[in-house]
Amino acid sequence: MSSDSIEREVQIDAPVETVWSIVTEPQNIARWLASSVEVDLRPGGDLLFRFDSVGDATGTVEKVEPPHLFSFRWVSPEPERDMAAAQGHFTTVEFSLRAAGEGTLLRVVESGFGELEGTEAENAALAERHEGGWGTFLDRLAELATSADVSA
Amino acid sequence: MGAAALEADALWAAVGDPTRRRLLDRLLALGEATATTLSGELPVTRQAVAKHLAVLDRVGLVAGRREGRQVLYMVEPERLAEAAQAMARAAAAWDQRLAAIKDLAEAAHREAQGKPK
Repeated sequence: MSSDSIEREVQIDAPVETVWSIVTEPQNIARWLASSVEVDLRPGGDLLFRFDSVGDATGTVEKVEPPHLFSFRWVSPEPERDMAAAQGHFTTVEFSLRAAGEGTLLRVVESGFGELEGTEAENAALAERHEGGWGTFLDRLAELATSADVSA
Repeated sequence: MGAAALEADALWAAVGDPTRRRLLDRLLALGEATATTLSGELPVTRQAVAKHLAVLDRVGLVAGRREGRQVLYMVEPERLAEAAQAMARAAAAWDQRLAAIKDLAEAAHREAQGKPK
């Protein structure tokens, strides 16, 4: 797993099939993500998320393996981010669902923040050294924050 | 599009690249350094380092000062903190979305079982 990723999970008291429908059906996605959603739910299918605040985000479905795996590529919406200008800065979002106890463990990984620019050779060299990830960067930043008066 | 939106995206793109994050990381450790020094510490050419420093300079993440024939670069910490916050916001957004998914799925499940809370 690349360190250029965000990983989060949540335990849900509902069966895997129920969680799957919330995560993948357009009318349900519209209730937790965007104001309106169009999804062609098959590999290579188009995605369209309309956000009131930042405009439209487009993407492509990558994997659909009901009811356990759903992934897509998109331009991650950010406050004040111009979605049109950000085209090409794709990240990958992967949802995985598995039965856990009486319910479901839902995990999301958004990755690819490090693939935004730079040459392949540079990225490969860095990946090989396991360096340049957000982890190192944020550690260093925390160090800086405690050792210097940033507001000065 | 607004200037703020353009600027936010430029900042995001500037720190989205692992080589540039590595450069910032080394610069923070060194305090001040030239492109030549930095290229000696990273698996990239001096030319590539200069190109990345130009990108970082443009969005205000580093500042250079001329000393004789050299240019010494240092990190602008306030700007760097802003960039790191963009990543933290993306993580917080997923926490919110997962919480919403949990609420929706559990409500649907209760309904299906015919026992409203």
